[in-house]
Amino acid sequence: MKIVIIGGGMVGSTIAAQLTNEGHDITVVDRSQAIADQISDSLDCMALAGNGASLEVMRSADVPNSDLLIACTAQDELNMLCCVFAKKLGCRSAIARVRTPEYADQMYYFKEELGMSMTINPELNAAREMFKLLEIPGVLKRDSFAKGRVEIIEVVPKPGDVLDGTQLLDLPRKLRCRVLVAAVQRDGEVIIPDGSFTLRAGDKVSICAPTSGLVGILRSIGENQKKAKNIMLIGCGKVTDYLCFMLQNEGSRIRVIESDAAAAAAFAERYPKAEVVCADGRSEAVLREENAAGMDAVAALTEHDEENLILSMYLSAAGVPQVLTKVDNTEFGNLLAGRGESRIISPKKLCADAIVRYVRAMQNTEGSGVLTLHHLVDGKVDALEFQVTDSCRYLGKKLLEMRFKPNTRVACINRMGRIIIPGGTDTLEAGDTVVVIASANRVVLDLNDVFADEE
Amino acid sequence: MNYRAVFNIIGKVLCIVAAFLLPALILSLALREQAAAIAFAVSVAACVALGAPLASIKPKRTDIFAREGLVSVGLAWIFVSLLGALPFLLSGAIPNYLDCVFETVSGFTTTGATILSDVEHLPRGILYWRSFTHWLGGMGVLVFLLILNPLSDKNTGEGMHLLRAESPGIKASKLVPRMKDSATILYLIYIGLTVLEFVLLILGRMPLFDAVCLTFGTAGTGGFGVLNDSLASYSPYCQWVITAFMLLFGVNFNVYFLLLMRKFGKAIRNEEVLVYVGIVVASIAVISISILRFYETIGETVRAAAFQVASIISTTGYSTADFDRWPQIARTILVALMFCGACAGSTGGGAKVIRVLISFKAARRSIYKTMHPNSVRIIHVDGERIDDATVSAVGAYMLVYFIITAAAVLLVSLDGKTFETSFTAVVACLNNIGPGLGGVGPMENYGSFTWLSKVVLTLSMLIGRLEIYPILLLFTPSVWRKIHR
Repeated sequence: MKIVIIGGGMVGSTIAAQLTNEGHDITVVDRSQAIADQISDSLDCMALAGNGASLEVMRSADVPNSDLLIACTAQDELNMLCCVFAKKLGCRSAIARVRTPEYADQMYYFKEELGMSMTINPELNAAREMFKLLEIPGVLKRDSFAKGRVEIIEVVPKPGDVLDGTQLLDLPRKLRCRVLVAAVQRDGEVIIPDGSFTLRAGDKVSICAPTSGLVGILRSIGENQKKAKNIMLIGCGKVTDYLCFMLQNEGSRIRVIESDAAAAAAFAERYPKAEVVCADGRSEAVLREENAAGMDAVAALTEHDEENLILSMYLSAAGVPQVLTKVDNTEFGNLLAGRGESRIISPKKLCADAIVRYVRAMQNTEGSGVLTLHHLVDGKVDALEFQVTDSCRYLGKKLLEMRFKPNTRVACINRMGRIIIPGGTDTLEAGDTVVVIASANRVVLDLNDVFADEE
Repeated sequence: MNYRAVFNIIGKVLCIVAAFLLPALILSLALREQAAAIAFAVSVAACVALGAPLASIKPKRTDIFAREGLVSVGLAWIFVSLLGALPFLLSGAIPNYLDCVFETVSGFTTTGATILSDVEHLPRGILYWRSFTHWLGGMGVLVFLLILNPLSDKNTGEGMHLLRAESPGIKASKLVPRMKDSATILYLIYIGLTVLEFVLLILGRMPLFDAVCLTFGTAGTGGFGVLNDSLASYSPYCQWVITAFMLLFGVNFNVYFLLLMRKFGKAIRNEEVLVYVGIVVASIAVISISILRFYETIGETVRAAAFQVASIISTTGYSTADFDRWPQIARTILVALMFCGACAGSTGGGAKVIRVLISFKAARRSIYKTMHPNSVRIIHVDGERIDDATVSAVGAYMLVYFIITAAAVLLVSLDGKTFETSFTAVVACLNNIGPGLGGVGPMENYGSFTWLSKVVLTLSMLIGRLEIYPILLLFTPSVWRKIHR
């Protein structure tokens, strides 16, 4: 597909990199010549310098003949303007990044009135992600499928707990729940394991399980499964705003630390239930005074990645059970993630994922398109949800009889809301949705793509 | 330095060369030229024997940066030249290997300087290969590789470094988002123009073999002919066709792409091409006037002037007249055109019109600034801003270019030939033209130089074709260190 991306910042370039890898023709437009040059040098795509909302630039980027325009400059209004013009020029679809909290309720009108196909809000996505993690503290990552009925969670077994030294065949018995291990990351290598695989402490394990069984599973593993009640948020940017909005209805006690007096006051006005402290969250004295170590969870949400990373290292060391870290620009976030304790959430990466998902769905108009796409273990494995239609090659056949490509698995079948973690005798029926695990270096567009080619 | 990736690329390039040697082999077999056929068969075997193992090296990391790109291009061209010279040696066409390499480099770099005094007695297969090197070298063998083989599955920007290192100009611009598609479009335009010229020459009743070879020579702006007097004995129609196509192949290929995309306005307003046309028209006019007395009719005069001007500015190097005997003003203009060269993004050599254009604009700005020290002036080309980094890069390039010219002239002067001969020999090689003045004039050849001069001139040709840096970098020790400093 021909895709034009306006804005070559972190989101724009991440999306451009992802989509070039998936084989699309990308043109990036950025205001700065230097950024355009850098993108055109490092990616197999075209880059232009100019104002992406000007018709002249849009024409030279060939927007009129493009399939999709993605506007992700820093300004919401500019993004919307880009989309409006792109539609007028004849671009098939347009996606805008709109992230101002005040616009959150009028998204419907943007789509309806301005003709945008989709709006993305990285900060809102990040807040949702954090909210989900705060619900179940024991996991590093939670991805939902089948309208929230199935989840793939990431956990790291500790020495001596139930997972350590367990063969995967024995896992359902030990956890008293049918589960499937989707992927394991061991010493930097990613494995899509089979039944004979034995887990070890320190592995990063992605487990696919019904949502209803999650708490039970975590209890068997011995993870702390109590929902976080006392929560501290450091820094009050957009993510804090969205997160606070979600948490305030949950009866959590929220304490927000913000160094800027005006921002703190504005926040206190918006969220009267939250306790807002105007102090420098980077100072150890302040954190002690506000009893950071006694919190159930602390989220480092300042606008500087480095501060967030250092804060979360300090907080983990201080013994906070759950630390969430927002990391936007640094690519070194996984340094910390490797240590197991901390949860890194990158709004911009989440946003790029959402767009890749949208593009794959656009590409597959007939057949069984991708419903949901999540990246597991640092993006090395994809988990994709498909609708099973009549075009499925093995309709009604047992899993045992199907021939899959290497490193692919069916992780779960959702049949009319009933979740089946499949064994060899289960079948695929039209109307099911299935979650498929596949290594990320293969682009899977259609359910049939996961089956081995017929000879 | 990612050696594995570099050798992998070189291996693939050698395999491509082996494939391109096959038509020459088939031609030799068809014409029953036994020595040439054996030479080609051995050369194909040598290319495959060396290329296949190198191509099977799996790079541990596929990331290529500017340095690897430049080194791959430099080394690939040297390897290709060394192996491409084998047919000349093995068939006995040229007895001395250094001469063979000189002739091959001259072919691949589209120079057209020859050490042969008599080409008419060479086997046809060898003549075909000699001309075909022009065609392959004109657009570039690594650009061809980009069409066949995207360097890694993750389509990152690696190919860009290769394209930039091999294609001439200040900035290799992408025509379309995908590298592979850009390279394909360039080659399709190239092939299209080549076929068009071939058909026009056949319509002018040129013999088939001559038409093929001369088309290759024109397309790559090379200059190897198949007759000893270059092109003087062909019909006026054929000379005009070749004049037109020499000029066309000297135009930036991006312009053709714009024409294909029906963006006529943008194509016509391309400043570099306008300047190029201006220089051509002015030179033809002045030279025509100065050589009026050598010819009987005005038509003949203009034809001779136009052919020589087109041949020199596009850096082809064909000739229909011995311009060495022309008045001094005509000869000086031709030497100036040698330096100027064709447009960026064409198959021609030289310093490129765009660099000359930017240099002039920068000079004008400097002069203006001495009068109005606080004025802010931006240099524009095609209505787009040329940033100061580019301007100073152009300045540095021109400086290095003249230093290399001076150094090469110094070394070639050891042969004791006249200054005119030594100087124009270097200029004609460095700018990939072929014939110069005096002892290397259009009716002479490079056979009388000593081995040292031939090595210097061979390197000059490579430096000129690859625009200095890929070759200079090979002589920089820090490039070869594992940890780059």
